[in-house]
Amino acid sequence: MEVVGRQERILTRKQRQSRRAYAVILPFFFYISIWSLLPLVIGLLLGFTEFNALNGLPKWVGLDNFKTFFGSKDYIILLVRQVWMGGLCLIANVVLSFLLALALNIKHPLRGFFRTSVYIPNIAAAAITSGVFIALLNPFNGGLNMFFKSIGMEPIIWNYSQFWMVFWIMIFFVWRSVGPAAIIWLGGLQSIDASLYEAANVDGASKLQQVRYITIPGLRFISAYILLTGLIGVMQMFDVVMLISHGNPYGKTDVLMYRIYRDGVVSFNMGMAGAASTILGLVTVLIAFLAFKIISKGDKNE
Amino acid sequence: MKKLIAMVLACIMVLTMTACGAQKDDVAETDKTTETTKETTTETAVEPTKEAEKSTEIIHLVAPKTGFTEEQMQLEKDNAAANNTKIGPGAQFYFDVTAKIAEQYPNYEMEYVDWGWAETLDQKQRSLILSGNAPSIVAGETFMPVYASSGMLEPLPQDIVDMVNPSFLIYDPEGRPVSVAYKSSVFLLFYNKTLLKNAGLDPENPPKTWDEWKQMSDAVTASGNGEIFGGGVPSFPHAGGSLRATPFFRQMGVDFGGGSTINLTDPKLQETLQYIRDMNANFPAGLGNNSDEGPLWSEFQDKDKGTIAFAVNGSWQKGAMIDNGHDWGVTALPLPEGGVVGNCMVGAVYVGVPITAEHKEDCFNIIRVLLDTEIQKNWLKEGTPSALNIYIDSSAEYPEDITLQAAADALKSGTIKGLTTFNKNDAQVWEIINTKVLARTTMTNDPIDTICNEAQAEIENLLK
Repeated sequence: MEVVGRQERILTRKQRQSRRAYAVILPFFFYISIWSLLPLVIGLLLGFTEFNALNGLPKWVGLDNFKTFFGSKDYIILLVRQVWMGGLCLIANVVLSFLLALALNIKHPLRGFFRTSVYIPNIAAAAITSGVFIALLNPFNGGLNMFFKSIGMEPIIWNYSQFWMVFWIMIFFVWRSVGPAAIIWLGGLQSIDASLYEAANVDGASKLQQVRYITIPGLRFISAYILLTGLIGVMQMFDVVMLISHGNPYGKTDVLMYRIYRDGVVSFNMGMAGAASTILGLVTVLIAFLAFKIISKGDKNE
Repeated sequence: MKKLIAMVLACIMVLTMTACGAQKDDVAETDKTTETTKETTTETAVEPTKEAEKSTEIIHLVAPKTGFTEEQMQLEKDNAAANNTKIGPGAQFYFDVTAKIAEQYPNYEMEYVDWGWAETLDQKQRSLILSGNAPSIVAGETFMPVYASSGMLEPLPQDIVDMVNPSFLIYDPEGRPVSVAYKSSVFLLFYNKTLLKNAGLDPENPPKTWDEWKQMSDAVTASGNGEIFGGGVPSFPHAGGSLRATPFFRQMGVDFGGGSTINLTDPKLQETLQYIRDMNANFPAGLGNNSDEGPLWSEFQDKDKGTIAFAVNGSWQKGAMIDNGHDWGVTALPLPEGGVVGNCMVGAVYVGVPITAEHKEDCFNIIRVLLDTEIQKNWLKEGTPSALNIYIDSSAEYPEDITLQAAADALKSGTIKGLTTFNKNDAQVWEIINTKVLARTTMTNDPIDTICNEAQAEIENLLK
């Protein structure tokens, strides 16, 4: 019996390696559970309560907050707007950062300077840079309207128009985010084997054909990373909206994430904030899953 | 493998629980030490009577917006020295309060905390209330009626209630005053006499009615050739808009509702919105309803600008008009035909004592110092009405100050409230009023009844 017991405890090399690996990552799992999973669970549970942080403990209200969410077209409109405004920002950012990366990949004496420059807007404090944007957009004597007046054009009252405010939100978002995405694209571009381009040149392929048949396929994993992280980012986007438009004109640029922020820490309607967060989280997971499926479809085909 | 993971997890849990437990014990131990120190302090003091024993007890009070920390004092002194000026009356108020508390209540260990203002302060206070460590005094402006209506504030002692104008009080659902503003203001109509003169109007005859105001404002705009404007009722898409528009609704005898009702379908309210829309034509396009209200005030008051003739603002506007050398005047808000006097409290700093606070009577002593008759004179020097009846009922302390006199007249005309409060989602309801009612009224030509009906439906949903 004793021999059998000892035999059971003998581990293969692979098992020993696995144990060591688990021992290394276990503290991090524990850390993540405390700081990420626990708040997530609390947020989820809050969605089933009524709680304003003044009158004692949360009161269980079941699905009431979820009924309010789906019973009012206002929350649905905000969710849809989060998707389409976020989508616009994401597409613009992905395309422009890719083009920027292509430009930064060209050998030029000032290449290092430009690579650093494109990253700076992301480091600069958003509250300060958004202040510059807002000053430029001042309807009466803002920089842009003063310029229009000086060339004989009619000033534009930017804050009256949903189109223009979405446009400026997108510009500010891309201006801040394009640098980091371009640097990642650039890393991908430089990891493509240079001999492929040399062979393409020998075969007489044009620059456009080289991008189409070498660069883009070579960047599939990088693009998957940029798209998925970007997608999650825009589904959580509210700071740009808050800083540039405050959801105006009259709520026409408001998005669900900004509403969750206001429900939670302005109105202290923690129940609605929890319920809306849960729904937004599920929608984000669903969209990210679909995006992942589409991206990985190419892999399977190959 | 599973056993090993389970063992490690169990160990981590035990360690964590032990660590947390130890921390709790440490805190408890510290508390005990503090208590022992307190007891020692009390025991070693000369204590012939129970009263004396009370006065030597060290009482720790945490109070935002009541006094200055050493750092804040130094900063104010440095700023004054750098600008070669005296410390302003607003800052002097807090210097005086801090000094008076130190002198009158030497056993109070005051923690003057700077938790910001508005949402930041609200968040900090709520998190402390939630964790069972409510500060000794809570402070705030727009959210204080919400605190009061939740029943979390201790009723004010009668002596405090008796010394202040009723407009400076907030009541709980049972009608008991639970919070008092140690400073506040009301809205007045400021005007630039030079611009009125240039438009051929009598600058000594400010408008008394809505119609007169509109005619004068239209005249300034018409003669201004797109450079000079008459001005109107601001409709900023935030509280700055609703605060300034509310007096005009109240003059028509209506308000937005309150509690669990919303009142946007009232014809008089819609009539007022029409007036606000008409007056908005006298602002430079996009300025009267801009998210950032700074550019509007800059156009009205800046030395090198002064392009708007009329501005609805609190009594603090006086300071900038004097500093920038404008020829200016101030008057009560114009009234609609058949209307009543109406206004709204603004720029208030309300304070109250949470029910869960310890040493409540000592907390009220702090509020008594905030309402000290000598210290309150600082607000009069600043051009802000004092909460005290003696300074509202009589203008003996400010015989030459037309702004304070106009504000006192408004306060004497009846009890003025702050913005109304809604039982649920208060901030969200106000946001809809600010953006989808007021700002939309002046930004678009959408029919006012459509604007109101849509907002009414949305708000009713939030109040359910």
